[in-house]
Amino acid sequence: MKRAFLGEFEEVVLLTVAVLDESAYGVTVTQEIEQKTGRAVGFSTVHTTLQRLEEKGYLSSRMSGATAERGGRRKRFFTVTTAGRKALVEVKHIREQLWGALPPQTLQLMGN
Amino acid sequence: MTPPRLADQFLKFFCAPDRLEEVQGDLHEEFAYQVRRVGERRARWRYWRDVLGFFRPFAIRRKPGDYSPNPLFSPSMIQNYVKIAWRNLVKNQTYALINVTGLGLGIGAALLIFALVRYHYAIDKHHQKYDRIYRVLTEFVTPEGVFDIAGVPYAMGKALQNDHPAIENLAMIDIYRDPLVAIPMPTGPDRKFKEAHQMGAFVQPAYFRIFDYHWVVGGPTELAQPNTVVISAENATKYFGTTQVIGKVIKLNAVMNTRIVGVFEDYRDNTDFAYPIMASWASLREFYGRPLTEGFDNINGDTQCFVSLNDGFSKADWDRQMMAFVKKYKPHGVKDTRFPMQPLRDIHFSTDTGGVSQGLIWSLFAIGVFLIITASINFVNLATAQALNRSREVGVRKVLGSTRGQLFWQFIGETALLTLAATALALLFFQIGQQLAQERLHGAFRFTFYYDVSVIGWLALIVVVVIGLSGLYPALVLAGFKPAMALAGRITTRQVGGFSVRRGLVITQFAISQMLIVGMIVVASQLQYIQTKDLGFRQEAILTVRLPSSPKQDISKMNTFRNLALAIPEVKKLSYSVSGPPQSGWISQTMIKFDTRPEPEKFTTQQQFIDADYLNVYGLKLVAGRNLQPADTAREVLVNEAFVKALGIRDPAKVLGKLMHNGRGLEIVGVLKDFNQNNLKSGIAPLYMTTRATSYFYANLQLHNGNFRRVIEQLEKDYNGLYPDSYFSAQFVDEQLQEFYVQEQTMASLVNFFAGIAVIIGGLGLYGLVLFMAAQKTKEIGVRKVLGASIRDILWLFGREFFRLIVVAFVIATPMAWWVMSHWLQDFVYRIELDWWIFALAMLLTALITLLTVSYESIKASFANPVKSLRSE
Repeated sequence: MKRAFLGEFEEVVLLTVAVLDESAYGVTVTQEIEQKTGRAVGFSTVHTTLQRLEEKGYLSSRMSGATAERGGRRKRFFTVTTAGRKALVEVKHIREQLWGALPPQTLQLMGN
Repeated sequence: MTPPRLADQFLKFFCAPDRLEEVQGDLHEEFAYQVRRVGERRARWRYWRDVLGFFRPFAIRRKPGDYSPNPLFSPSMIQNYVKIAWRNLVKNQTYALINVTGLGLGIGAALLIFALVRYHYAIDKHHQKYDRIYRVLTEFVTPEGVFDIAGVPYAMGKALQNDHPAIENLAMIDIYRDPLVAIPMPTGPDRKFKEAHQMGAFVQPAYFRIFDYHWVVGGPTELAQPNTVVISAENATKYFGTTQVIGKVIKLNAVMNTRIVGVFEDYRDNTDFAYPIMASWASLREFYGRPLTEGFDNINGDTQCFVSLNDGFSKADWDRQMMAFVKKYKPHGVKDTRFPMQPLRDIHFSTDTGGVSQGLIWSLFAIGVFLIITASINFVNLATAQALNRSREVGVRKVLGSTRGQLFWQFIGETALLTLAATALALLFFQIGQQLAQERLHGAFRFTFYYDVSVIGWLALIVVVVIGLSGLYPALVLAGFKPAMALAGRITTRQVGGFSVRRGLVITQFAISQMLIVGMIVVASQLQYIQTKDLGFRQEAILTVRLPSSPKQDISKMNTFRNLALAIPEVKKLSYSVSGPPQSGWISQTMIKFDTRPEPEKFTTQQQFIDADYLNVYGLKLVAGRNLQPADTAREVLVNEAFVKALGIRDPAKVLGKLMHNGRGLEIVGVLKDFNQNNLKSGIAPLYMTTRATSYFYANLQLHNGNFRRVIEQLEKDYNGLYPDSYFSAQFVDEQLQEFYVQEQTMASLVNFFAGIAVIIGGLGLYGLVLFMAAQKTKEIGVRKVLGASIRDILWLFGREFFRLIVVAFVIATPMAWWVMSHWLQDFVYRIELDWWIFALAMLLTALITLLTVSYESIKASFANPVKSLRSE
């Protein structure tokens, strides 16, 4: 089976979409990442990544109905697909494996 | 608080439409948030940064959709357009055929013309120094005007080199015609090659630093030495069967052995300086058997001087320097001699020095443009005529949602399809025309085409122009139909641009045809005129035989030849001379002093060497004095009336007995009635004639009627016995005279050919138009006939329309044709008058052509049985 590959930023974006649940779209995802990680994120970078993840099949999207907000322009909401969830779990799994394999003294050095 | 508008517009411009909404929405929302967070100014900056951040593939790339955003290009619509276009063609085969043939003819002929024009403008362009190469001319200022000679004195080269170190390269060249090449054989006689139509030359090595040559083997380095020669690959192969011929010896004109030191690549047909045999300048003295003439008084059109100048050298600099030059080397010529420079790009078009007339090229170009206009007008006429039949289609399409733009492009597309079909036909015509031109015109003046990018470029340009000219108007008209009217079938000819536009077009066409016909008539009658004009000397049944081109004629051999020739019963008289009365190209000019006048005369004189029988053979008349006494050296001279006039003396008898000094004094014994010693393009120049047997170059034989072929055969036998090293060449004077007008004749045939095509295209258009008129008027004719109209009345219905148009066209065409043609005639000293009958004839011819094309259909229409045409109602 082909192994899922997620870039670090892709992982962050994918996770954020999962966190935001039903209300994930460009603006919320960007702001959420900024708040949670404290790093400034390019608006267009987020959009690009969202689209790339959709092309990879980890996200699906649908357009919302028009609202009075933002000049009546519709939003594109993203949800994580099964494949996306699997990829996240897999990444988490690999991390945990790696953490588990750390020798105890190294763990102590890191302050844990 | 809105985000920067410009940024928004930019986003709209590049962003894919299917993503724009969400992206812009997000951006706006973010903007509002940032305004609250960091203030408006910084939010605007951010907005810009974000927008620019989107300038990347994911946002720009368009999603391929099921429906094209522009329905015009959707596959099914295009399919439909093609289908409808095809159905229309099939339904109206006659129109389609006329359209495509007319356009094809027009495009093909125009392409031929443009290829010809481009050929003439590409001559010698391949030389790297093209822009810096000049030929030094000799210019004489005479009371009759200024005229240029391509040649310069022999001494020019050295003098220029001494006085103008600024000249980068300078090379003298001496040209001679019809070289005779002999290859010495170890055993047996030499193999001889008579290179008629080729030119030989003597050049200085610098010639090859000015002009670019590609060497197959060897090179020009040794060409500074005497008795060396370089030849073209073609000639080398002809003589030796190979190009590896360095060190081999060829004998030129039976007088001089030369060693081959280089072989250069063949000339393509794109140079004015094709000299396949170029010997070293240092050999010239041996070739002519005498030292080169010193001084600046003897000028020969075949001794030329080329220079390449450094950048930044202006014509004004040159002219200023040359004034001092003349003062130094030719003090008596300060008033009437100049040595201007002629840029290489002008050489091909300078008629004075034997070039092609630029006027001719441009008049052909104009005809080419006319051809395209005429063909396009046909198209417009036929297309608008057909427009009525398509009004329902337009109505239906509009009702179903077609926009005006869509319909417009549909019809332009149809025009483009037809034009492309016509282009295929045009390429065929182009091929045929090219072949025809090569066969008919080759040798007359060069007519070569290159299939290169520029011709393809021309073709593309022509196609686009034709599509624009012929498609635009009908497309606009058709696309502008109102659907309600169109569907109700209430569109009439009035809506189809009305008659006025159509009439305007037909008038333009008629006017073009009439102008071309006037041109044809004028050119033809001018040629007829100069060819049959009395030149003042006998032309019929005079045969000229060339003597060997040796530096000094052997007088005893000439006497023997005279006796042998006179023994032939058909030969009436024989005279020797340096050339016949018509001198083509080679004119010996000189300055003279008259009587006791201290200063040289301010005019240049042509000189001729003749014997005492010359006047008899050519039937020249004396107005005063007597003929020359037979003599072998110059003692007495005859002058012409122009000479006397140039001296400022009124009575010819007054010059008799006076001395004319040209080196030494010669007594004037007679004055000849003026005759045209040059051609009729130039006037009669002052001329003197004297005896000088060693300089004779031609035998002029007056023949009785009889078997000329037998005479020539006998002469050839005698000649070859007498001059075994030379070769026999004979030509009749009247044929020789025809050659003067080769360019005019070529022009006449080209003008006739292309103008003929234009007229044919015009005729095709008329035919189509009358077909349409007949179809439209079927009912009208039926009603009229029922009401008692005679066939003549019906015919007049058609005739009246066309007659009116012809008259209006005549009014427009006549002044234009008059202006153009009187301009052309300016080139001729002897010319016809532009009489009214020429224009009347042109109009008559146009009327006749119209009658021919129009009559059949109109007669058919007028004879139609009204029962048939009215029954359907």
